[in-house]
Amino acid sequence: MSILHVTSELEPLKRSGLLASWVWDSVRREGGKVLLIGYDGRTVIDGIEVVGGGSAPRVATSDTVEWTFIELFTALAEAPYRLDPRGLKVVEGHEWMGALIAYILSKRLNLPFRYSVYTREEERGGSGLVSETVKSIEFFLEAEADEVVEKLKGRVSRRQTAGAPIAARASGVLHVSWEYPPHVVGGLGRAVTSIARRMAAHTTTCVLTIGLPGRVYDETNDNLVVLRVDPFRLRSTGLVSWVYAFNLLMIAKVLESGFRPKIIHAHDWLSAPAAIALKHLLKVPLIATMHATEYGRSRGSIYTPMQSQIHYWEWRLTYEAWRVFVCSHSMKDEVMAAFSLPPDKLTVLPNGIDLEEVDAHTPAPGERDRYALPWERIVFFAGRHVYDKGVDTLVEAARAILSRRGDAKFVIAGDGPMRMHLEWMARSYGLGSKVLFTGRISDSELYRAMRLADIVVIPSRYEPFGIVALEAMAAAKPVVASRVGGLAEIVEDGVTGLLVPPEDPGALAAAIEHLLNNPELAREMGLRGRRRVEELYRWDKIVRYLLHVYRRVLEEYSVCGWRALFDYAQPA
Amino acid sequence: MDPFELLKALHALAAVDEARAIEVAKLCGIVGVPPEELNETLKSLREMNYVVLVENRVFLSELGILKVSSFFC
Repeated sequence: MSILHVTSELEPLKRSGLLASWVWDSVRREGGKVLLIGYDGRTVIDGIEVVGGGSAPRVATSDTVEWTFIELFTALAEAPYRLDPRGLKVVEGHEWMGALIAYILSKRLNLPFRYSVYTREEERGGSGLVSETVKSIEFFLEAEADEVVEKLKGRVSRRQTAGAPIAARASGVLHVSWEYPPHVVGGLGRAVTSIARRMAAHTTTCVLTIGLPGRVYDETNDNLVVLRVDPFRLRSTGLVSWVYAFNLLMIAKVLESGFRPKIIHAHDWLSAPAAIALKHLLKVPLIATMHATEYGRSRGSIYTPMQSQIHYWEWRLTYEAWRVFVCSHSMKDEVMAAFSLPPDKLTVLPNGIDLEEVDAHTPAPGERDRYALPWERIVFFAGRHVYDKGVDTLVEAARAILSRRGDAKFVIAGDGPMRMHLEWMARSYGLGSKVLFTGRISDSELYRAMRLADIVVIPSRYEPFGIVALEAMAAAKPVVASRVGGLAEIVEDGVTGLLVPPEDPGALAAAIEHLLNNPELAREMGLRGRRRVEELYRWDKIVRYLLHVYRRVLEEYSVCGWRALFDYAQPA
Repeated sequence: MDPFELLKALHALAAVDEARAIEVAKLCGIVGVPPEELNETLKSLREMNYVVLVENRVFLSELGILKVSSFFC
C-alpha cells in the first residue's frame, strides 16, 4: 500500500527529539513517501521520496503553537505544487502536527486518514495553555481519524469518520469570513451578510464561517449555503492560535462539504490562512476585501508578535489575491502603503446599506423613554468600545457639554474591552444618568435607537469605512464624525453632517452643540444624508459590481495556465 | 487582575458552556492569581453577564465570547 506520511520530524533530515527516529523507522517499515513539514528540499533516502512542505516565513510568534500553525499553513499551500498524489492510497499523520495536515490532505485527495500517536500530551505531563491546546488537538484528531495507530504500543483502533456532507455538490462563490450571524461583532459581519444574501439571488453562494456554542449548524436556503465550524473544539494558547485553529477546521469543512467554489472571497486576515490554503488546494482564484489593517490600526507601528502575525497574514492575503477590494480611498492609500501593492490590483468599493431593513424597524410607542427623558435631546453613539473608536473622546466632549447645558443625553451603545474604563470615566466626571451605556444591542434595537436619536456621533481615531455613518444617514440623522478614513468620504461636511479633527473633545463638543442649537439645520442634514445613501450606497448596486469583477477574474483564470501537481488528484 | 485578560483565558480554554466549564481552583493556577482576587474579578464579570458561574465552575456566556471577539475588529 502506498502511504503518504506527513510529519514535522524525520531522521536524518529534521529532528528535535525521538520522534524523528520513530517516524523514520515507521516509514522504512511501511514504505510510501513523506511530506516533511518545515523542510524546503526534496530528496530520496533509502528509496523513500521525501518532499519538503516548505519553510515557514520569518514571523514573530508568541509560542510554539502559533509557530507550528504557520508551518502547517505553509505546507498546505505548498503541497499542491510539491507533492505528486498519484498512486497514494492512504494519508498517515505522525503526531499532532503531521496529523493536522494529513487530515486535511486526506479530505482533498479523498483518501483514508490514519493518525499515528507515539506519546500523548497527557503522558508527557505538560501543563499550561500549550499543553491544553495540544491535548485538545490530539482528542480532535482521534475523533476524526479513520484509524488511530499507537505506534509504540502497536495498538490500532478504527473510528467513525466525520458526518456526511451537508451540501449538494454545488459550486459558486465562497465567502470566507469569521463574522456571520450569529457571530457578528462589527461592520465586517454585517457587510458579508448583506453581500452574501444579495449575491445568492444571482449565483450559488456559500459562506464559510464560525458558530457560537450551541449554534454550530449548517444551512442551505435556496442559493445560499452557510457552513459553520465549531471554533471551540480546540483549545488555544491565545487569540491568534485560536484563529489558526478555526482556519484549519474551515479548510476541512469545505473539503468535506461537497461545495466546490469557483472563486473564493476572503474578508480580512482572520480567515486568510484558510482562504489561501483553499486557493491552492482547489486551484481557484482568490479575491480579498481588506476591511481594516493592523498597520492602520496601529498607525504604522508593528511591534508585538500578535501584530507581526496579523500584518503578515494581511500582506499575504493581498499578495495571493487576484483582486483586492477596499471600502474607501483612504483605505486604498493605506493598503498600498502597508503592503506595497500596485494600485491596479486594488478596487475601491464602498460598503452599502440595506434601506429596507433599516426602514422595517420603527420604535414602539414609549420606547424613547428607555433612553431619555422627554425634554432631553439624544446624542447617540454605536460601536465597539475599543481605542480606535474614540469613545473616550466622546465622554470628554459630553463632560464639556453637560457643564454648559442639561438638555443633552448621551446614549452609548455597544461593548468591548474599554467598556469598564469608559463607565469609570463617566462616573468619575460625575456625569451620572446623563451618559447611558446600553451594552451590546441587536441590529433591530440599533435601527430603532438611531430613529430616536437627535444626532449620531462617530468620534473614531481610525475608521476604514464607518458603516454606522450610513446607518445614521439612512435613519435621516445628522452625523458628527472625525475627519478620518472613510468617514471623511461618506459624511459631507456642512451638508450631511459635521466633520471634526480626531481626538479633539473641544471641537467635537462644539459641533454637537451647534446641531443641538440648530435643530432645523440638523433635520435638513439628516434628510440630505438619507438621499445620499439612497443614491450611492445600495447593496444591490455593489453586489452587481462585485459579480462583474468575479466574471472578469474567471475569464483571466480560464486562460492563465496555472498548473499544480494536485491536478493529478481525483476531483475534490 | 484585568477582567479582559480573564475573559481571554476562559476563551483560550474553550470554557464556553456548562459541559466545558472550568473549575475556579484550576483557573487560579492557569492565570496565576490568588483565589480571592480571581473571585472578585469573576463576580464583576458575572454582574455584566460575561461569565456564568455554576457551583465552583465558570464559563463564558455568549456575550462574553462576543466581547473577546471584539478585540480583533
